[in-house]
Amino acid sequence: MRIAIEMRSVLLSLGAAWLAVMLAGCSTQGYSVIAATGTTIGVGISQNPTSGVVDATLGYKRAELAFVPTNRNGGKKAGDHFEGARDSANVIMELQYRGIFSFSADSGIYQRLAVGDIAVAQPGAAIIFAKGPDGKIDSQALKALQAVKGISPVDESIEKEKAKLSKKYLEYKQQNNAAELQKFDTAAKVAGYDSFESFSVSLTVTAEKIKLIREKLKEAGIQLEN
Amino acid sequence: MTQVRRVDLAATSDLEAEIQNLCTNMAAGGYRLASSFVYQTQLVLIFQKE
Repeated sequence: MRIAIEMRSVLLSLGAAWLAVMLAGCSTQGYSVIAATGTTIGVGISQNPTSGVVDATLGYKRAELAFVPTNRNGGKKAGDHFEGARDSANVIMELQYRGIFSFSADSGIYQRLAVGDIAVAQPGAAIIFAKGPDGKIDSQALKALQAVKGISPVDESIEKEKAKLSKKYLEYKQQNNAAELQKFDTAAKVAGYDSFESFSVSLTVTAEKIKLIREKLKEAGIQLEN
Repeated sequence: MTQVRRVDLAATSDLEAEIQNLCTNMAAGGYRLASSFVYQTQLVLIFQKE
């Protein structure tokens, strides 16, 4: 019994020391994103003293906490790195519970939490989240995962530059200005597309092709935003 | 006619602008946004020919 009490004291001391180190680390490092989850599911049935019916209580409680450091300064120069929060962590969280009143194999509660840019972007994270509560990946989920991954991702910068041309094209389209629309088709054909419409939805557009079409439109007298 | 596009939510810097630009480009091609859903960290957008 004495050994147990001493061990408990040692563990408490270690825990306090660890907490102190952790808090000290946070204070010098600056702002952190705190990702916290708390789950409480409980059912209580009160006992009837006259009938003697026995109480039944089901409870579940858990909490998770993650400190994710950012590059934002939390000291005297707080705010110097005002864009630092953009580098703070992304968080994906999922909580499922089902059959909590049954003892079947599929009953239970599980939670998934991924914190950080790398964590949420990694294919591994997608695979973890594709797993069922039993830890297995459903064949249909795997097919869906492969199908979605097979779609070419949108290139943000290409779409931005293309949109400058598309806005002008749509303006002329609303005006039914066939002469100006023809200039867009001609410029797109120079870059190897059948028409401007096929260029605007193409997934193989490059910055060079956009530049070429811009130059041709400019030569044709079309004014575009920079 | 259907076109499907995928936006990596973890990689985009300005999601609103990216969706607007994408929809503008697809509209120029005669496509309108018909449906969208999020799968894992991916936003999937389904466009249909008007």
